[in-house]
Amino acid sequence: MRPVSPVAVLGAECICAAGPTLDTCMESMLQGGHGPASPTLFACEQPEPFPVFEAADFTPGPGEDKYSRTVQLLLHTTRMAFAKAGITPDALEGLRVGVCIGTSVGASLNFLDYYKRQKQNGDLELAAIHTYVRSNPATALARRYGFTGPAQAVVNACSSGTDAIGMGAAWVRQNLCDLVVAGGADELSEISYNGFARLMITSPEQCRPFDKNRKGLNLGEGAGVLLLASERTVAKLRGSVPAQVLGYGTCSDAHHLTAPHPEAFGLERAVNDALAQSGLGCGDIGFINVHGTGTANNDPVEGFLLKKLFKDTPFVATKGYTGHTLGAAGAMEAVLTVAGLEQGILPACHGFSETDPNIGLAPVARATKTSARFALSQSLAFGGNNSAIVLKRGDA
Amino acid sequence: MREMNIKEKLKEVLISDLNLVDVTPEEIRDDEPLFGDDGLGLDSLDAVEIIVIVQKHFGVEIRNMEEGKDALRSLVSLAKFIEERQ
Amino acid sequence: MISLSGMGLAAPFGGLKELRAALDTDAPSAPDHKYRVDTTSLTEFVPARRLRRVDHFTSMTLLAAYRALYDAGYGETLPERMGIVLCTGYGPSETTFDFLDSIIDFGAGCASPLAFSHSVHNIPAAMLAMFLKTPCPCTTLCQLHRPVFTGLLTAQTWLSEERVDTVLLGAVDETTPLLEHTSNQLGRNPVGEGAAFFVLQRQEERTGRTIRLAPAEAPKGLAAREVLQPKVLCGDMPVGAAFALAATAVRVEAGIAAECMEHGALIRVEQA
Repeated sequence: MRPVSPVAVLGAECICAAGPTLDTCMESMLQGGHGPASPTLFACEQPEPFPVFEAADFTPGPGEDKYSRTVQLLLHTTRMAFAKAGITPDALEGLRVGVCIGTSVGASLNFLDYYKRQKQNGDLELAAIHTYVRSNPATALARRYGFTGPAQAVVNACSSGTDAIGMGAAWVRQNLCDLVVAGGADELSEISYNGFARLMITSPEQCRPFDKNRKGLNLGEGAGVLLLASERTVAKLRGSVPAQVLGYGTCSDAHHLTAPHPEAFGLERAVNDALAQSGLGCGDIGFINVHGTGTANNDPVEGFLLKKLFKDTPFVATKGYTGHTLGAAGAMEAVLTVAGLEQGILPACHGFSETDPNIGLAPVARATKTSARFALSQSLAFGGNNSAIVLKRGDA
Repeated sequence: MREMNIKEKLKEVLISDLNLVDVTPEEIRDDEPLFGDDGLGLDSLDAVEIIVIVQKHFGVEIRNMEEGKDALRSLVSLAKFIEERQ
Repeated sequence: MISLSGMGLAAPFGGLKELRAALDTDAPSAPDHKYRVDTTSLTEFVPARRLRRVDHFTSMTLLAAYRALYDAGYGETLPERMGIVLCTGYGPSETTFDFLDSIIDFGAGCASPLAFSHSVHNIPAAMLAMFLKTPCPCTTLCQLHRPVFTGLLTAQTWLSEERVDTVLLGAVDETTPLLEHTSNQLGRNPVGEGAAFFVLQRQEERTGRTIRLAPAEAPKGLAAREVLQPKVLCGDMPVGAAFALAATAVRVEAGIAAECMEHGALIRVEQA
């Protein structure tokens, strides 16, 4: 792929179990964070309970009750991102603002209660349907703000957030938009909880990315957004630029429905495309935010590629603080990567203690300073999808 | 006799629930490996579905893959596992 | 603008040939049965035993995709540096409800992991890549508002940044008894289903056809010359505009000027 121009990040925000804003998340993570707990949003009906990471200190904004929790999380984070970047809604007038959001649960026909009633020939209350119709995360966000640019919901399972940022950046570069709200959002859902439990990849305890004794993933929820802008928009809004989005790569393994290619075929191509678009080599990358779910299958595949391309590059796995937030994960991790570049510090990998000899690599095990100029964030998904983006420190 | 019935029922539900087109109960050999190319050719996704099938149709719980590993070797080992726990 | 090198349909009325025939009659009429797509001819492209894991949504996807590739002159050999973009309004709805069925009927402890994994919305596109044996960029978009327009926009973006040289763009929706029931409750038109695929390339690399497409904001006051209300032939579905787009391309190819609209967005179709 040919190199492309960088796209400015005007603001980055996230919400998850670690905190309702990026600053609180980083603070909590650097202090060691806290573990998962039993779900409170729904009743666990599996024979064995699996702990989760629910978003903390969160109440939906006024007038937002009519949306799904996924959209509420997204609107909260978008509001925070604009506020932190010092951008008021009227400053956006006349700009072509696009919305590109990754999600998994957020676009599904998961009408469990409604469907149950229909099967039992009960009264059919349409509230769930109306909530669904107005709660596509991308469309809902665009309508809430009155944005006129393209609005797109990306549903590539666990790589959706990374993909949404990669595609949103291309919209700015190709002058389809002046500014793009790009990211991902997913609420913790009973449906995915039961699905992941029965796939037998959820852990009965705190997840342990890359650890020898890892037992699976913990589900989580949250949202993350980057405000991506053209140079002209940055000048017009007089924004500061904490980071830039460089290249993006994505490749489906075409190998197996749920398992990644054992030698990371698609992931390698995704990483190479992201580097090529960035005009960088492996040696330029200062740190990597890995997918690191803590499942038996995922971590060795990532480890395989890290050893091949990035043997000495420090890598962080943040799902021990956030849980696996599915469609939001890639976006939240991009936001955390921006924070790592900007603040020059990487959080320890929560849950990791002992290197798996079958992987032979360890993530950052204690909070570590970094002077990295470039970082990579990568995501692996169901269907064998793999995606990666490169981020650059703003002042570098 | 009982094991016989379990085996027959197992063949039936595996074919229907895993949608094994082109396979008849008679064609599944008792000691044929369930997974891999020299057997029935099932994969890891079928394995987790079989765990649900066993719970649903026989009321026998396989708590994790570690426990299921030996049981899921072949039709006969799975039938034996079920019989011992029913 | 991007060029359209081939199209393939898996619709309640059949494929592209049946669409052409319907367009030649004065007033295409609705079929007297439910809007359901027959995918049995998928075995012309794939042996039946490889289809054990393939649900109805994915069958429609595969059938329309193979037809589009053949229409564009590809068959056994595929375009190089290809990507897949799939857009949908509801996603794979039948498997979504299959999974809910397994929870409701047997309890969460017996929820089917197989049904769950098939209900994940990017699986049909991933399975298409698997059947074509082509590791490649692959993305799925899911929305009720402008799914086809947005899919086309992403295809265009990928082509112009040279991420890929060819995009296989698909639009797929599937009906289920619950969706029919709900739509009835809401007083909407009968729900339909179908898949439409388009082989798209940068203009300089097109392979024969002379149709160009471009997604664009509709100019104010545009009186679009729309060819077909897809509802009549396929039923009501979020990606209905894909069938209107196919019909528009057929018309334009025959020298009749026409436009395709989706929720106020314009898809320009013209002779190259």
